[in-house]
Amino acid sequence: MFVGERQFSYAELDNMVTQIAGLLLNDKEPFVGILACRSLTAYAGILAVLKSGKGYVPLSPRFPEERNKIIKDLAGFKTLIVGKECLHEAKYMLKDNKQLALIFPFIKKAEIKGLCLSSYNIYTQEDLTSTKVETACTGKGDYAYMLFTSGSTGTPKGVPISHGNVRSYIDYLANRYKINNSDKFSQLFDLTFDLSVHDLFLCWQGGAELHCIPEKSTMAPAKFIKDNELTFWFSVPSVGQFMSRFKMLKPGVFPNLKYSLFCGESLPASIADEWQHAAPNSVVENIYGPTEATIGISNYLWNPEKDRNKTHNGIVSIGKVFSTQEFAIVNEKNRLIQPGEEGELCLAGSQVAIGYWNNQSKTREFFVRLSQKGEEVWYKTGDIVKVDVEGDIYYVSRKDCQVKIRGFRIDLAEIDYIISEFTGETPVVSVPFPVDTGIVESIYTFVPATLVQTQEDILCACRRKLPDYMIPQGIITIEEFPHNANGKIDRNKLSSLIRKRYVQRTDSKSIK
Amino acid sequence: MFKERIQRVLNSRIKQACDKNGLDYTKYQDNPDLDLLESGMFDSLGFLELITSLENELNIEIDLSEYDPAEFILYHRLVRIIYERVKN
Repeated sequence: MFVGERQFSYAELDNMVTQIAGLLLNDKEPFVGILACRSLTAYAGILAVLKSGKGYVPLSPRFPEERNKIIKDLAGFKTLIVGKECLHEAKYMLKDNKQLALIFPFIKKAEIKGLCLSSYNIYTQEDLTSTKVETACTGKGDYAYMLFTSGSTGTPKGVPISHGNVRSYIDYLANRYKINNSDKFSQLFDLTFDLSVHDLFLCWQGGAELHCIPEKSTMAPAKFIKDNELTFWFSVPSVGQFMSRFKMLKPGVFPNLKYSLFCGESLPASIADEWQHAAPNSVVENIYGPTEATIGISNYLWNPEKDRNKTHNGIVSIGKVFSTQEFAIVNEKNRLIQPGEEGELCLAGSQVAIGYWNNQSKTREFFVRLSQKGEEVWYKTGDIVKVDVEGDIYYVSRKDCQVKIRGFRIDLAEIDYIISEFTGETPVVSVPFPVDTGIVESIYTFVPATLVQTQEDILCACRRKLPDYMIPQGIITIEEFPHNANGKIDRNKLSSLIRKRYVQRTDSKSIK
Repeated sequence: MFKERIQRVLNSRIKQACDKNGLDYTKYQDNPDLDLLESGMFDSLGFLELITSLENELNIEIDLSEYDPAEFILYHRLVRIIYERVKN
């Protein structure tokens, strides 16, 4: 495992995991929090939590402190494993919460400044004394991790994923890809993103090398792929798009790549094609899947012979649902659609979560029974799709106001809610802009011209509550909101207003 | 001469970014080690736009394919990379 300038054997990692797990044995809660960047603390921490029979809940230093605290309260964990890089955020987590135990596996007591150690339950490197800890026996239904996704009411929704869910995904992929200890995996995804579970556990299942991509290289890590001779790549398509714009996807530039997988947002056909030429020996695959269905649940294998590829509006098909899982496409009344029609994609099977954490109303809304499909519970994805005669699925649009930026799932209603709450005014309407072949680059928010708060006031309020990828690029005041024929606010018109505004200001160079 | 021109255009873009993000330009002026992303002046998209605008203003094509972002987001490295490319 390669992290920063250092490399660790899996035997070394196993020792660290045992030592951390030894500190978790008395914790009776189902979850343990992990507050760390992609680092040794994170990797050893995740494995230690699983070894102790609990599930992990990732927090992020990129989240506002308040959001981390809300997630902690919702998940209800009593122990938090903290990376060196998150000492400041950890102190905030202790505010009004002396019960929370903090574990700093790679920090010595003397390095912790500004905290009275005797007043809190704090464990440091000196406390890692365990040499043998039995791996807990976990069943299929026990939780492996819980991630929180954007929620329209301003409170994130917890998605608990069981060992059975993850096992189904990893086994399915491990059977398809022949992974061995000569393989070299990228680790690019943040831990709060379930695609990181793929990076870690598919790699570890095959005994391969894991290469953590340094934060500063994540924007366009072409040189990292080349220098480290990676064989297995996994990212959101926008990383490919960045590399393309930096002219980094030259033909044959990644000869070592065997598998290049894209997930988390729409994959433009142009990027798939360019990547295929850059990585001529690689399989290029589009993976689709919501967090609720564990990482990915369908795939489309890009064909190097371009004319045989399947796309819709320039976006690559999401292919077929894994043979181990089930799908159905329904209309607004939850009835199965006729062949050729568009409808909402619903998913069922061993990868699908049982619902949202302590949130019955949202669980009832999204995890439903379909009268034509018996007793099985189906997750309604909100993705409107269509299927071709060969059974390949195409993403068409969203049913609601959810968008993805660099793969991060954003409910625009959550941004609107936070701003309305701060300003006391409605309507507040966020729109994605620009959207290039399905890839959203940023968000703009429209507010009534009558507001007394400035743009900076509003953005500050957002920064206090929302992760950086949810902060609007700009706040635009509007005298009167445009409405469509149904009386709803016309988001398309709002998008064209931004386009006009942008073009006037930037001489049309900086935006597509 | 061309190196000075690169710096002049880059400085003017940095000043604009400072104004947009409420940063004090004088704090960053003349700092060759300035990290254009970490300073908060540009996010990754903004950085791409910066490169496009440098290409347009200097009428050159900037090829960063041989470099890692950890390098070219530093002020002095970016100037040097562009200069070396044009020189060759």
